[in-house]
Amino acid sequence: MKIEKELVAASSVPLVLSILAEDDNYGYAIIQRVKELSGGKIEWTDGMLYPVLHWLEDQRLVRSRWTKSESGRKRKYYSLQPDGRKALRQQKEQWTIVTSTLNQLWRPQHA
Amino acid sequence: MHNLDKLIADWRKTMRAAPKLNHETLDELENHLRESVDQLVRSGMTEPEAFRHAVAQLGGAPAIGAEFQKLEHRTWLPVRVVIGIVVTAALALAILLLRRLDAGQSSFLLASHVFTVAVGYTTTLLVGALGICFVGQRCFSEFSLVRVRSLTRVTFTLGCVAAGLTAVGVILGMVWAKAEWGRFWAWDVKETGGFAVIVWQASFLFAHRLACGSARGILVMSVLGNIVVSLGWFGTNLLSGLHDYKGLLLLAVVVVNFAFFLLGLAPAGWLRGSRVS
Repeated sequence: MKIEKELVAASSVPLVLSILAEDDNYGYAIIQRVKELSGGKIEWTDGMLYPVLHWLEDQRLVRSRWTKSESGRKRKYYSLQPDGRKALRQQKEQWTIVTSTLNQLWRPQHA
Repeated sequence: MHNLDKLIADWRKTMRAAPKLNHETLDELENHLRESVDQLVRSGMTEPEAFRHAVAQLGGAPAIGAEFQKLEHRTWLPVRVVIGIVVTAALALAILLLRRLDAGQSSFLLASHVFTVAVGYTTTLLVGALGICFVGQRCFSEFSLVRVRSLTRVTFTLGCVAAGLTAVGVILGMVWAKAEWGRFWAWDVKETGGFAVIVWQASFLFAHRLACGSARGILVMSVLGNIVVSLGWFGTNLLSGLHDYKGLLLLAVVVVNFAFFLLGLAPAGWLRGSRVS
């Protein structure tokens, strides 16, 4: 089962911030990490990640830098900034409230 | 040219059709495409197949461009107000001076001097007003990078307009003074005030160049322009006919502007915590 695109869009910011909280990363690898963690169920149109990354940078939640990989290819790495950590904490709280509310509603006795 | 390079060069051409995709973003997307193609080739696809698959997965120029378009900000309200005031003030002053010219109360040279200097000074004051709005809003929330960059461009353009008009106005004034009083420059209070404003405007533009587009300091600094222009323009009038209440008003202008300048040095969002979306 694939996740609907509205939900994919809504979860893109917490997903990206959470992946960058693990370590600095670049666009392609961020998408691969999401695919790997979701077992391929969360699928982005790859190009849609970049406006999200640029928006996060505009909001000063992440910062970017170009570096060269071992293969000599240029990559734009993103790293989480202090405001980004704060935003991630807020996102975690909000998503926890949503999931815990749904979990309570979806307990077997309510089903 | 290698086949993949040719395919990617053609792809870049089609992507350039989207107005919001700049060179750096295209580099980033191209890098993504190449990573994706490499991965697909490793999984057994031929290079052209892998390229087609990777392009489809990346998405088309219109869709990506539309997403980037959403990042664009509408022009900040104070910028629209300031530009409106500059244009209105210039038009009103032009009409007033044309009437005086018509009535024979002024010479063309003097009217041109008054117009250019007054609009130059007013524009500098309005750049300072933008600085005050910036400082005021920044007390509650940080500005986005895109907005700060756009404000930097606006203040630089307005700063150039102000400096150009003031410089032309001062030169016209010198020519008029030579014709009327037999000398170009005598360091009287108005001339000294004008000189101070020009020095300020030049310093402001120079600071813009030094700041290389990172503009928080520039916008905070612009508030000081209000003090220089107020003293250079109205302070000199006071010296020639001092009234206590006007002196106090000028002092209040200086104090308030300096207070805003100091506020601009405080961290963003100090009154309500930094904005986090």
